[in-house]
Amino acid sequence: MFNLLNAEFYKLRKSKAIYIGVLVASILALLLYGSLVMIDKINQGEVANGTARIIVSQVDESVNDSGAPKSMMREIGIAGVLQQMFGGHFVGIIAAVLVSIFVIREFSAGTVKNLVGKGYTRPAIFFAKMIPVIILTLVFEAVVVAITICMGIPFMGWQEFSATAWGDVAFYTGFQFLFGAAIAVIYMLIGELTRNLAAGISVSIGMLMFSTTLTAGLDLVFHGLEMQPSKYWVLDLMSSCPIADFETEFIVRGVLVSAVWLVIAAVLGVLHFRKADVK
Amino acid sequence: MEYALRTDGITKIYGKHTVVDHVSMHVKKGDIYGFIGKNGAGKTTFMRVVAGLAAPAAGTMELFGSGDLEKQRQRLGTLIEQPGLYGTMTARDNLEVVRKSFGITGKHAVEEMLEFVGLAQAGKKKVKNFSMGMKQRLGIAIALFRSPDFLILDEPINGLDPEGIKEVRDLLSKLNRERQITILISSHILGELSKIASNYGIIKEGVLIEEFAAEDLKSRCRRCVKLVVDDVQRASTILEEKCHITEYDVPKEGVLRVFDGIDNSWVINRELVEGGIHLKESYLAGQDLEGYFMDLLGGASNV
Repeated sequence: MFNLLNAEFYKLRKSKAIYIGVLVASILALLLYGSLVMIDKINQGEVANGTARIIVSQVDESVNDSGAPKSMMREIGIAGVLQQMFGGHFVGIIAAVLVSIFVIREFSAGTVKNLVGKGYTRPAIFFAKMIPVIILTLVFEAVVVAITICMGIPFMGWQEFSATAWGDVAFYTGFQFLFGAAIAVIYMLIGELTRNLAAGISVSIGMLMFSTTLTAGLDLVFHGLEMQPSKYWVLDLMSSCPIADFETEFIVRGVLVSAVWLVIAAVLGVLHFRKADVK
Repeated sequence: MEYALRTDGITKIYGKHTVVDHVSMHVKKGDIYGFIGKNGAGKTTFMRVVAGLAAPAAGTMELFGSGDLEKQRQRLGTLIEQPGLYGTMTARDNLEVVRKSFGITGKHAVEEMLEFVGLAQAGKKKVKNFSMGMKQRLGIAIALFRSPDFLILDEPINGLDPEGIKEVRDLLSKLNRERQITILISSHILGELSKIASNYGIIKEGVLIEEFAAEDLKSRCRRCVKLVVDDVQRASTILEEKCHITEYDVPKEGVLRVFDGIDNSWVINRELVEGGIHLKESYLAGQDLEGYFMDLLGGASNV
């Protein structure tokens, strides 16, 4: 198992996709900050509404207590931008692509044949892939957090940076790591089931984009029974995770739901991999 | 008799289609076993079952006389269908992954193997830019990396140029001769296969129709005069007494195969006719190996 992990981490180090993923996430963070700058400029009348295709539906020309024009960017803050990166599934989409590439290429390139039937049990091969997949997702998320925070300094200024509640940001990040680990194993399960890069990425992103709509629908259906399925779906927790004022109920539910989904995905993945033929 | 592989009734079914149908194969230790069949005959599927990549629907197998397949498969080196390679990595990186996966100590093992398969000069070239032959060689290197006792190679010379084919052929002969590695090999290039194989198995529509040794094959392909006669007994007497021929056989009723005096077959014909034999047919027979296999497999091309 240690040897397999060693080889998997070697492959990770050699993978260009990770660096490209980080680059894309950086660009997304930059665009997010850039959009906020533009919104402020539109609100303050410095540029016309619709410039660079950014349309503010309700221009806010109000001022703050000191008489200066209100800044959307300062209201949102670095923590808010971070929340957008995770809650808006920017990070999730890139992670889905990275995990799919890392898992599915073993099947599409046939390299899994080099391990199966060579003395390792299939569950060992699956877990040796799962652990780096989780670490890959967590490292990627950590890098995105670091980049988003660092980019915030030139955009928001040192004062805003210093005023950020870093304890809350750390707690929020920890939660996103937890959700990210569970989602990564679900992506891996999808990769194992589809074994096709295009299908794997499509299904993963589709799940990311539409599953919360589905759970919202289920909430409506089960409204009469006072059941709220969205409370137990990890992607809903990812996007609804607060950036401050964490309630104990949410903390406990978040930990349990993530753990349960991680275990379910891992068990289903192992069961399928144990039985399925390898081509 | 020690067997590297012995299967009994191995069957593989996909949906309603039986791809491998009760195959009982016997590969002796030290053999180079040529596995022959048309496309879709079930060769690759059978090899995948042996390698543990696919589970059989029925049947049992033993590797090196043991039913503990999980353990014995550690002694296998396989190259089945396309070699499993990371296209964005170099040959060295690909072997490094294999080295790390199996905890083989010493990086020199990678260099030695690259040298062994003639890829030491590939340098930083990515595998996706390799020729088919280079990929095959790298696939063979991966199969050989753990010093296996039993190699399973599915079409290993596919895509190689004549020089490459010869190199692989020599390499396999050398591995078999010097390291006593047993080899199960399938190939479409029957002429090449016949240069190294010591035994053959022929599969048709999922059924292993025949297993035989290379010497046996030679006698089956020997040049002869085939005679179709009304009285084999009397014809045999004439052959022996009048033509002084002793090397002949009777493969089936009414047919004689004469191996002696082929160049003077007209003498044989004349003596038989003069002896009152009704000679229905007389013709020179004997095939190359390819022709023989074609006959066995039903005559179609694409073997």
